[in-house]
Amino acid sequence: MQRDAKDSCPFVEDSFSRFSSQSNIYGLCKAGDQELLAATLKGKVICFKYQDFRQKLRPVAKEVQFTYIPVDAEIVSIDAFNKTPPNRGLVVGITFIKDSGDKASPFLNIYCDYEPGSEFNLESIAQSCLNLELQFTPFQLYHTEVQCTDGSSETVFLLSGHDQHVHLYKENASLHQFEEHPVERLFPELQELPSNVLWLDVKPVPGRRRLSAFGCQSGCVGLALVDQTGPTVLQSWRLQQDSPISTVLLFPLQTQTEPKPDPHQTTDTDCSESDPHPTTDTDCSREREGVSYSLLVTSTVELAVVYRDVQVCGLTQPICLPESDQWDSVLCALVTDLDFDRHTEVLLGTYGQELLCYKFQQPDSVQGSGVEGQFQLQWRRSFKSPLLAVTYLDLTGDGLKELAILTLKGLHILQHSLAWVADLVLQGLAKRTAQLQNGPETWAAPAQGPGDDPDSARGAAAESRKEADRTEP
Amino acid sequence: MLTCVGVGDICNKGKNYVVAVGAEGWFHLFDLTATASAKSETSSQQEALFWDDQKPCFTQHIPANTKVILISDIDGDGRSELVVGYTDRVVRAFRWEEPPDSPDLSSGQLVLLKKWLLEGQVDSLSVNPGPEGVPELMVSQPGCGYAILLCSWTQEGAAEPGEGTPATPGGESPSRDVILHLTTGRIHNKNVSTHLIGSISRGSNGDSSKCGLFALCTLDGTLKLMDSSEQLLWSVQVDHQLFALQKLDVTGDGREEVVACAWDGQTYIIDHNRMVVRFQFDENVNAFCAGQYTCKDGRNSPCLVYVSFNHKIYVYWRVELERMEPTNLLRVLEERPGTGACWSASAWTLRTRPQLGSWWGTCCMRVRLPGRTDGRNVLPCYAALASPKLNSPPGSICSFLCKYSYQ
Repeated sequence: MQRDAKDSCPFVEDSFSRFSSQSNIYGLCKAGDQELLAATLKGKVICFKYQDFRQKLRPVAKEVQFTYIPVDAEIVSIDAFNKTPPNRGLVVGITFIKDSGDKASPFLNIYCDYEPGSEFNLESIAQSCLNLELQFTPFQLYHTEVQCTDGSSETVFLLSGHDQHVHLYKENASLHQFEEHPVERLFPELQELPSNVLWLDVKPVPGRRRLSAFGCQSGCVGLALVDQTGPTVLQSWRLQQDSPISTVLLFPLQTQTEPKPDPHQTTDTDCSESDPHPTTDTDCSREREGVSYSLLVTSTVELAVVYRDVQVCGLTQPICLPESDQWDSVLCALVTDLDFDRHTEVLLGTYGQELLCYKFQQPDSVQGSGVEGQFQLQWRRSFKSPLLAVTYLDLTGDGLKELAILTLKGLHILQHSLAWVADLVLQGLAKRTAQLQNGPETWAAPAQGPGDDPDSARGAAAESRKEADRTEP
Repeated sequence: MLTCVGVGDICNKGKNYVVAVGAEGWFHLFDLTATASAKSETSSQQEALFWDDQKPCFTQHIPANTKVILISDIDGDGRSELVVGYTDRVVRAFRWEEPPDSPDLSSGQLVLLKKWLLEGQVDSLSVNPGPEGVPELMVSQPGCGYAILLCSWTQEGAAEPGEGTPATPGGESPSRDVILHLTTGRIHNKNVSTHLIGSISRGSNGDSSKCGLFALCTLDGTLKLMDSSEQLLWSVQVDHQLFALQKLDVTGDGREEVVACAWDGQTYIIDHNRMVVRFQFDENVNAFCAGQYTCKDGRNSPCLVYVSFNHKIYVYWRVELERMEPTNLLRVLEERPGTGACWSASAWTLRTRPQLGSWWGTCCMRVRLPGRTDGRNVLPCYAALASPKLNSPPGSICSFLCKYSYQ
């Protein structure tokens, strides 16, 4: 399953779209499942997707004319989300600063179409705008799901600003518009902030709870465990670093010595787990509860740090990502399983034009020996300009996600090496086939007719393995 | 002033020499390998190459106003000739001749084989296999045209009877050995500078055609790929001033892609199916070439070489693409040889297996082995599938297996 060159980047660049002006770390977001929106400084928003054009896949980067963005506006941040069911529709939020010379005035524009049939049509969404003037310079525009008092859930915008506050914008369904709500009522952990929040991350955890993390300009990192019913802050932690925090990211990190398959993992190619024992629903839920969350904190000067098992240990178990401060500031980060081995990798994008991939090395199997797991730099890849933002989504519609990297000059799309993934898929399928045929439960054999005595079954398995071998090029 | 440089086995000794020709007509031969081996005990080869003054090992005066040279076998005799294009629309072919038992180059010399006079400026010289597979000398002509220059000395010494040299198509005008071809299409400027490159490899995909592929580009942005039977494979019009044309196999499939570079650094890599990959070099380009060169790891890799106007040469090495065309995993798997036959299920039944957990279902299907058609050899085969319960977006790898297997 391992690649031949273990320390080389397993991605192949598929396309690059050059932008007319630069973007920033808040300038890239997913719009729906298979599209990206990238905002550039000079007021242009580019929609990037792959189009099926006469049976051929083509990358298309097209400017979307969002209305009510003046020509002299400079876009700060962009975000988009699909409304939480049963509501339908795509909502796009864009913050910008209109500098008319004497006074710079910041705005938040929220685009959303209520016309049935065009809720997901970007062209028509871009024409229906709610224009909100802001009293502060906006930073990150973020969205998250909140539990309403009636038990339903809803997605809201959270916007941090230079006024040391995070502002909450919630849809008023009856009026078809978004309104600012006091943030304390839904997010008590986001009041009385020590500094301007540069990055925010919220993750729901089982038991109707959530983890909220934020990183500040002053270097302060905040983390809170919140019971969503209420909501009440169960526990909160603060930590002071020495430089502005560029990203905070909450993610599940497997810490068991024998990792189990993650039920959330959709791109699971390896069907070869040696233990095909039934994993019942109760097992699943137990496992889900047992997921321990970790917090990745990247700073503009210092090493990036992962705080492990934050629900239990808070911010007391740091692991540094070695050499992560060697290529200027880390500006963006992503945590996902990039090589389909069920272990998450940490990707960091730096201003020093490098993409770094770290892998978590599990601690030795001897429990309690004091040997901690650690992150090791797996590979790095150089780019031609500073990396600003990174996201991972399925642009080509094949179930395999692509890495979208926003740099100062444009948008790079990196695709998994398809030949390698195809090998992996076929291998996994062949293994699974052999396993099922060798396994004790040859349950389907009776359905196949009389040839179900052990000998013929074994013969069939051998045949099938041979067959699987033949599929390899 | 040096106007042309080239590397090739010009003396037919099985050894490459560096050729440098000045506009005044001074032809110099350099043997870099000799210097390097002589100095190798004191310093590394590269230092010897770069820091020591090179002395030409042979010098001869040939007619002046040289513009472009080509070292290649142009008449099909297996020996290299030197072809020189001139600014006064003349092309001359030379051959290196020396007494059979001469110890060094000093006793040899270049002998003029033939002189051709053309109607327009010659910007590039190339050799391309003709319709019969015999190499033809091609030169570019303004306005996206080209001319085939016949090597009449092969006819003079027509020792082999019934030979099929490329002279036959131009038999009507034997007095002139220049066959001019003007490619059709919208050419706005008949005098626009044109470049040409021939012998573009078709790869080993069983294409039995002997016709060589060649490409043309013009400064006003026309790019064409043709074969020597004058069939147009594709034509592309771009908005950039193309001034250099090369061929390079970037996908590693044996088929060479056409690489064209514009003054402003825009570079086009186009395959035989007209699939275009673009690359923007960030400076204006003074000179451009592409080829297989060794930069690291001691092996050749596809390289793009740009010369800027700021006294710098940029080499982009390992310019390798997995494929020219954007694609996705589904298509890659469908194209895998053998897999289609393997997974084409003749019949299948889908059952869910609660024992395997909520997110695993299993598909039991009968798969027919390729080449065995009697029903008794059908054997059961299982594939792991994602059940619809899996909270994955449609089209994830697991559900892909499902989709693919049913086909």
